[in-house]
Amino acid sequence: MKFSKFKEACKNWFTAVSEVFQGAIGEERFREHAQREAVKFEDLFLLLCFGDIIGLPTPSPYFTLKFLPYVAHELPDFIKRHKFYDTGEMLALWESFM
Amino acid sequence: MGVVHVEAKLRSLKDIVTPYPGERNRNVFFGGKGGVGKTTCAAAAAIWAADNGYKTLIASTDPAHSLAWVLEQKVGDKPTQVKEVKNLDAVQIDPQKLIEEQKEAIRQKIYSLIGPTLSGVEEYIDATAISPGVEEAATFDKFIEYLSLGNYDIIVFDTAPTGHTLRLISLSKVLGEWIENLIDVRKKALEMRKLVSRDIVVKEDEILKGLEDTKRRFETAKSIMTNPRKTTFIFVLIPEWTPILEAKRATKIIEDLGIKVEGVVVNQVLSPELSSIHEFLKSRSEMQLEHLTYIEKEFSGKVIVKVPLLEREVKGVSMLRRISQFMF
Repeated sequence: MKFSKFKEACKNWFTAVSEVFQGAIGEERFREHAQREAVKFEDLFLLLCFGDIIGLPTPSPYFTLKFLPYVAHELPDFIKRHKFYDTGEMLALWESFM
Repeated sequence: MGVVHVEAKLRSLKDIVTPYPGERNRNVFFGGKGGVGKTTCAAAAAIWAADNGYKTLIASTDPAHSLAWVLEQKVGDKPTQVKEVKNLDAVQIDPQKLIEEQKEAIRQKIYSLIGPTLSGVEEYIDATAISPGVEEAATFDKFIEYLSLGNYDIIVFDTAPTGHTLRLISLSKVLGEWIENLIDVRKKALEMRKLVSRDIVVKEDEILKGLEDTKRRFETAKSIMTNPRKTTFIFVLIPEWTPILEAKRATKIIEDLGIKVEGVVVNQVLSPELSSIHEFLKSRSEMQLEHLTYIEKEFSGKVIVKVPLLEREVKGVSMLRRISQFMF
C-alpha cells in the first residue's frame, strides 16, 4: 500500500516537474508568438492609418492626422522596414481591410 | 401622443423647413448645379425662417463664397448676425483655414510629445494637407460640428454644386466603415501587446480613444442626416433639360444614401404675362411649360415650388425677402 502511494506520488511529482518545464519553454514560445503578432498588428495599423507615407492610399488622411503625434517616433523605422520590403502577407492583410 | 406618419403628404415648403413636431431642430440642405440660384433660395429660406421667429443659421460650404455676395455682407468662419435680419446668423466654412489650423495643432502636439519633428514626418504633414479630398474632409468635419449644435432652431446648409455635395455626404458612410477597421486592428494590436508586456504605455489608449470618438461623431452625423425628422434636402433647378437630368440623378444618389429629398424649387420661371410681350418670350415660356410638366411628373410626391425670374439678379436682403414670398 505504502509503495503504491509512493509510486503515485512520484508520478505526480514527475508530471508536475515536466509541466513546469513545458510551461517554461512553452511560455517562451508563446511569448515569442505573441510578440510577433503584436508587431504585425501594430505595423498593420500603421499601414492602414499612415500607409500613404509609403504610397499605400488611405481613404481620408485628414481624419487620422490627429493621431500622428502618438506614432511619429515610430514612423522613420516603419518607413525603413516597409518601403521596399513588404511581404505578400502584410499586403494581403492590408488589402483585406481596404 | 399620436404618431405622425412621416410619409404623410407635405403640402408646402413651410412643413419641410420648420422643425418636425416633437423635434427641437431642423437641418435643411440646399443642393443644385452652380448658377441655378441655390444660394439665393437657401438664403431666402433662411431669412424666411428667421423672420418667422426661428433662430436660424445659414452655413455655406460653397467654395465660391456666393453667400457673402447674395447677402451683401462679409461672412466669416464664425457665425455672425446678418444685418437687417434679427434671428439669422451666417457662417462660411473655410476648409483651407481649417487645414492650416489642424496642421499647426499637430505640429504643436508632436513637439510637446517628442520634441522637434523628425524628418519625413514634417513632409508627410505638408503632403497630406494638399492631397485630393482633404478640403472636402475638412468641410465635412466642420459641418458635423454644426449638425450637432443645439443653439439654433434651423440650420440651412448651402452646399457646393452637386458633385461636392454628394462626395461630402457619401464620405460619412465610407469613413465610418474604415474607422471600424482601424479600431479592430488597433484593439488586436493592444491585445497582443498586453500578452507580451505587463505595462501598456498610456499613449496607446489615446489612439483608441480618439478612433472611437471619431467613430461616434460619424455615426451621430449619419444618424442625424438620415433621419427625416431632423434633416431634409431641397433641390434647386431651372426648367431646362440638363439641370433637370442632373437633379434627377443626384436625387437618386442622395436618397440611396438614406437622406430624404423632400422639396424641389424651380427657379427662373418666366411669368405668364411676359408671353404677351414678345414671340421670343412666348416660345421660351412654352418650352419651360413642357419642362415644368416633366418636373411635376418626375418629382411627384415632393413639394414643388416655382420662383419667377426677376427683373435683375437677386442680391441683398430685401430682394431675398421677395423671393421667399414665392417659396413659402
